[in-house]
Amino acid sequence: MKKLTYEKIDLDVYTETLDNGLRVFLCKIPRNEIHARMTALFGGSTLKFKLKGDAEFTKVPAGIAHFLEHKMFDKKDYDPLKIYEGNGASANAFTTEFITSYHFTGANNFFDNLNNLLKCVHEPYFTDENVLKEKGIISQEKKEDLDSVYYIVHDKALINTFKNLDYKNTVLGSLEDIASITKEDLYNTYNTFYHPSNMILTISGDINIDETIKFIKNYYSKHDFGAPKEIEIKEEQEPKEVVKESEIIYKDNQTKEIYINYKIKKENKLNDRYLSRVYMNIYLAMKFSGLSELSDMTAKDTNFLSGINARMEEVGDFYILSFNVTVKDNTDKVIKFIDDTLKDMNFDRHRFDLIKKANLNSLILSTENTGEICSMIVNQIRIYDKLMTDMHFKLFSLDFDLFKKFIQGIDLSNRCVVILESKKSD
Amino acid sequence: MKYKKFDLGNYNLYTIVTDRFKTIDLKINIRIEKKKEYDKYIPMLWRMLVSTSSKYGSLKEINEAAVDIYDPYYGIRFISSGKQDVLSLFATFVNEKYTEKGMNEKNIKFLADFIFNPKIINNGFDNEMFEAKKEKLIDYYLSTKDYPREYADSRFHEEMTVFDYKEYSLDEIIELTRSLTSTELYDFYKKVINEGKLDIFISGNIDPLKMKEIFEKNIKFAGKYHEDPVHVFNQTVYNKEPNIVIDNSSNVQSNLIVGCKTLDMTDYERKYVSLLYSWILGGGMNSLLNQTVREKNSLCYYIYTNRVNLLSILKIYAGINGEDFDKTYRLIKEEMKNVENGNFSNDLLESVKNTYYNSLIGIEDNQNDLLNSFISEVYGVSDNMDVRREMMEKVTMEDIMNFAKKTHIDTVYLLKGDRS
Repeated sequence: MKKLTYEKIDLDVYTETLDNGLRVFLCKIPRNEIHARMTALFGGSTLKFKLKGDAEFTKVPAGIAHFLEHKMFDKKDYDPLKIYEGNGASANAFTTEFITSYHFTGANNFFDNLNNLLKCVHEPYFTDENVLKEKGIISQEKKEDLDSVYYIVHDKALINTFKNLDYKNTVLGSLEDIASITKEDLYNTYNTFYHPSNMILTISGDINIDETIKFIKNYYSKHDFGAPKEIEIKEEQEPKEVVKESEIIYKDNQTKEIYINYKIKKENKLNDRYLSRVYMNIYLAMKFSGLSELSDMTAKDTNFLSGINARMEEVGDFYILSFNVTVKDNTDKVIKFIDDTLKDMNFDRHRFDLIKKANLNSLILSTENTGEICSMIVNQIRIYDKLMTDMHFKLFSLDFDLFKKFIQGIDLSNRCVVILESKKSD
Repeated sequence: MKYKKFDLGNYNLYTIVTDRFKTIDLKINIRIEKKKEYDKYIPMLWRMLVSTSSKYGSLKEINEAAVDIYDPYYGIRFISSGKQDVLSLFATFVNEKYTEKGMNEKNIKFLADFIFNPKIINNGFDNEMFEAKKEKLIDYYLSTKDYPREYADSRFHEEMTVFDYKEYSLDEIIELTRSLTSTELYDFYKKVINEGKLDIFISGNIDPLKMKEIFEKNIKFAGKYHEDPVHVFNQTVYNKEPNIVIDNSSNVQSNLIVGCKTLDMTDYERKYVSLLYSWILGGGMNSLLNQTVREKNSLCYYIYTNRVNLLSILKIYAGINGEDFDKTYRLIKEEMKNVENGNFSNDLLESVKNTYYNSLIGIEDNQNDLLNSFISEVYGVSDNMDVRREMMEKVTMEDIMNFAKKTHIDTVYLLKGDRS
């Protein structure tokens, strides 16, 4: 295995790519428990795909990745969760727009748990009956979102922001999508995306590196998955404009919920994706974090029932800056305030230095927890296709003038606003 | 792991030395006996303490000062612990070994000031911030209906009598909050300081004597020394015919809460048997309720038990379709009966025990868990970790069946959704 060291934060990661293409990352830290996570690079925003050589693209219903995640725990003659629980381990799985992860945390019977994890993700068992049963369960999961004021505006904003990208669909899909999923859809997506070459295995905690990689290799020596598969995701051309600039939804709510997406076409100003992302996040922190004037304003202005939550996501060729806030009234004024704040290109060097210090601190905190270490590795492989072992140096070397140059001139003209108004719907 | 207790006159300082973390965890806890009339002050007090400062003029300045000392993560809450309410400041900060010398003391001083040195003007809290926080809190109460799970829980607690008094309804608490003044809140703060029992807990790669010196130098606590208070509250009565309350809403999903009381709970049951009962009934994915209500009948996505052992109550939460209420409630009662009759496998009992043993090992992996575990020992509501494992091994299927026989459904609340 190859040893990689994250500079300045006392973190070593051992890595190897197996013959079948599986990428393995092992990290020993002084904890009693071990966290292991198997991640498929397949999430809720991929709906059209084919294997290299196939003539046609396959189109699957939204929510398929999440449905698949649920179904991977159903087996013909054993229950993976029972095995984990029998070993005293906790286990779960989750699906995002980009990935699906299966994980366990436990202190005992590590190899039995690891064997269980690998079997769980490599042994599909879908029947018409067990697919039907799952529809009732997942529909209830979806119904909770349909009652959530946050998800109502968030989900509508996705649809109003993207015309062609499948990112516009929610990870769970709609109730209709869930109802339409078949056993065949599940096998089709499984066979495409759950080949080891499209997966990442990350393990962190009290492990013996040599014994662990030996065990993993031994497991895969008994299972032939064929040659690594080349997957082609259908690339859709996405216009830089949003689909719909403004929409009001009515619900018998006590408060008003606002969700705003700024759709920003990427310009390759820095030629460094990591730094570009960091600078975009610093931009939001400069204007909307507790270090901005906003913290006192939202604390004292009684119209604000929450702070202004700001986040950045990279979707295809776009940065999406999203804002969510709960207010009593005056939604237009609040939306204008967010817009003005974002477009104000005056930046304070002292605040920049404080945010830089806070980022370096967060980096140290993120290595305290076995699960967070696995998350960090998975995210870096997904986004950069490598471990960012020089993160500390990059964060330490952030440059105020370069930051200003990167941010200034950013196109904030494409914006979508969704408001949940507190009125009775018809 | 080395534990040390320092008697600092009117309070105790507890240190835990461990070299497994790059961070230090701190908890400053003040316990006061739970009283109905305190409920109007509690939500306002922690909100004021965490957002004002006698030293800094604004929240922005507080936040800047925090980043300047390497950005500690912190918060203040009142935590319910049986018959006690605990005003708790909790914080995690990077050990100065990874930042700069002197930062540990600076962090402790910065954090302790929130509790011991609040911003007071004219014998009351900062009135401008107080009025803003009060209005926001009232709006928060008024908007609870927008958050179905939260609203259902709030309504459930209006219906189920847990203490020897009936808790305030949402309408009552709104009116009481409306009439509260910053001077009254400051009087309550002084009461908490004067009558509360203060304990400070700190863990990490630290020198206990140095910590003692830092706290002695930086904390001026005006309260008196108090004996350890009692946390346990016993249930003596329950509704023999469960009180079933159904409210209609315009939500899609229906939120069900089944509230149970256990009578005559022994100390052994409270610490051990109740946990296994709760996990067997509605803990993990293999629990009886998950297997029956979710997996076999596809009635829900979530169903779980929530045990409040210091109050001898247990709640079962589920998100279902409104029309499935009768069926779900029947299945819940059947599964409770199954535990009572011992109709659960020994494998399930062993696996929940294994989960418990694993959680004991896992406590040392997380400083917050480590501190909480130690605090529960100091508060007398848990045994030490060695005893815990030993005692849990002794729990039998009969113990769980007997416990189940003493556990009764008292109140059932359904927030029924009718939007398709």
